Amino acid sequence: MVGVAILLCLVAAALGVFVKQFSFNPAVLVATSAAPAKSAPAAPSAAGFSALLPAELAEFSVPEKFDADTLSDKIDGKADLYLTAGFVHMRCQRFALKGSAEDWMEWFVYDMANLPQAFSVFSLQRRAEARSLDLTEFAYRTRNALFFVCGRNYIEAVAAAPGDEMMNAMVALARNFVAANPPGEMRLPELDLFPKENLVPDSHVLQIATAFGFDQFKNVFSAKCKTGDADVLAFATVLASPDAANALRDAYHKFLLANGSKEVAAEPVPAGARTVESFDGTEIIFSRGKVVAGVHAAPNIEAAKRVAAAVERQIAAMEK
Amino acid sequence: MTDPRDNAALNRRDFLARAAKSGVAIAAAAGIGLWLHDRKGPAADAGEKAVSLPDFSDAKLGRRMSIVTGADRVKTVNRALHALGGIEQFVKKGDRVLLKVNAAFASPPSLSATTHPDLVAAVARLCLATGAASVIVTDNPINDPQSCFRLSGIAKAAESAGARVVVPNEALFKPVTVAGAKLIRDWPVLSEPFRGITKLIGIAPVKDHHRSGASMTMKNWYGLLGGARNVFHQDIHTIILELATMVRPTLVILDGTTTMMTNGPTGGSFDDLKATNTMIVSTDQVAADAFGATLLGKTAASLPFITRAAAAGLGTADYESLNPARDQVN
Repeated sequence: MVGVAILLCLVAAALGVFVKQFSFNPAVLVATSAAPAKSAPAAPSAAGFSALLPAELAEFSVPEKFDADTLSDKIDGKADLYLTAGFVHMRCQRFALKGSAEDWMEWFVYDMANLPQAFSVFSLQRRAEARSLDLTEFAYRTRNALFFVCGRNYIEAVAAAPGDEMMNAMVALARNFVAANPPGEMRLPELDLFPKENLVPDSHVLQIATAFGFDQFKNVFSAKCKTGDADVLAFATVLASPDAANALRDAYHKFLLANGSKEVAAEPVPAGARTVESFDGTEIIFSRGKVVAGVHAAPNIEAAKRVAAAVERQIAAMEK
Repeated sequence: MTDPRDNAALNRRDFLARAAKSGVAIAAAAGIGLWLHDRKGPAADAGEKAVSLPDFSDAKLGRRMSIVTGADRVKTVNRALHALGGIEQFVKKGDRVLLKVNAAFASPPSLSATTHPDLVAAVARLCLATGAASVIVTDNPINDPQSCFRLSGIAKAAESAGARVVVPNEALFKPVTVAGAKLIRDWPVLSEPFRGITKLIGIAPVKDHHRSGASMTMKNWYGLLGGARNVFHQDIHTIILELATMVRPTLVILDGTTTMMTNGPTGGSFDDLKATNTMIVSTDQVAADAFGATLLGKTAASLPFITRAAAAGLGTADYESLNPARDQVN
């Protein structure tokens, strides 16, 4: 009897702890914090980029370095985009054209630990009006900025105002960075899972986590494929084994149905594919070998089938 | 292993005695735990008394709103205020005004990541011209506030208009608790600049935001938070709701002259921006944000912080119900 009572007490205590852990009290962090507000740069010291500077540029600020705990101090709500993609640290520094303090730019180097993760944050932020830049495999410029991947690093150079002189200086700085940090071969084989024909140029995106809101979808590549008048988003991710791919396919199918999608009674394309209609459009998901692939939010079922079939053919060709 | 001698010696009386002792031990342990339990939890600072921010809204003015289109933000804000009866409806002679701007980044005005300096100067001048005793401009950018105020152009604009810029330091923060709040409990807030203030105006740009979907007037109060506030990004809609509960402004000004459509809240490229040429002035921050959502190509219903703020009675997401005054300037 006593033993049961003690056990019941322990169970009650465990339940209490379990329930209480969901009662988030962030003020505790404050109570244990020595400095509630920072009035000066809190970033740890960082090596600068002076050795890479072209002749046109001069330092405009001291270098700063931010880690996972402090990144949001610098970029606020965008920090999460980097943190979920495997962010290690970021170094940044402002430079200005010599003799013109009004013409300044900021140089950001995000260490993302590896090439895929660097590509992920690069691809997720690609600007619609990007113009190609002959710098690395993944690089573009806009009117006032340039963005590129160099090995494990994702780099941004953002000028306060557009201008040829500043753009030329930023490109020179970028070339110096690439020369000093040779990235080696920057190849992502998953990009070849999408058919070249009708592919929308530069539309590849890599989502490291929770693609399409599904928490089991990790390292999902996607690309837009033209079919008729529509651009259809195709996706693919490579698993450890065919069994794992089948299980993920079924789990995503179940997730879609649990979130309001309706099963489509039609001949599956490709064979064995699951097809559903969701709030966003038509979803097709299939597995082939170790790959889970499909289309997301297609505008109609015909377009979805055409693109899914093309992706499946491309994956099959890759197997040979 | 059980000692056979224990079994031999155990009778009903011993059992009951042991059970009673165990019960007393458990009860004592539970009692001590209850006695030591701190129901309030640790305070933010043992030496500080929690404060709350004053309510700067004016019930007599009610919920009002104006929307003016035009590319010149100085002209549009003047017209928008005029449409509501003029700045003198909100700021009286002798008032001490605080302008809460968005100076979150050391970013140039051209990138629209921060409140535009021309707008700060225009509003400060209007307040002073109507007889305000003083105008203070503040925000807590966390990282390198001096550079943020300087490079955003806000410091120079404010000072040229006769306003005083308050750059945050540790002494300006006090713990604040919002009644019924889940997150803002004993949290350090940039409250000292509010001392003696009689009117509060929030001035924010319209921006995309990676976590919340949009950064407008309600999200702008985030800049009053100190401490390790990045923890709130995990529950962004709740923190915005609580901020809107904590801060009751006299007026909000939402600058949609240039909207950051993508890659917010920092942006970085001109390609992230779109000329939407709209200025919104309102006593209802929920209504202002609901209209601002449309400039981003979104709806109020798609932004949970707006629907939750409206449900909490902080304003209306149905901005048309306010019959906003509409005008345009060339």
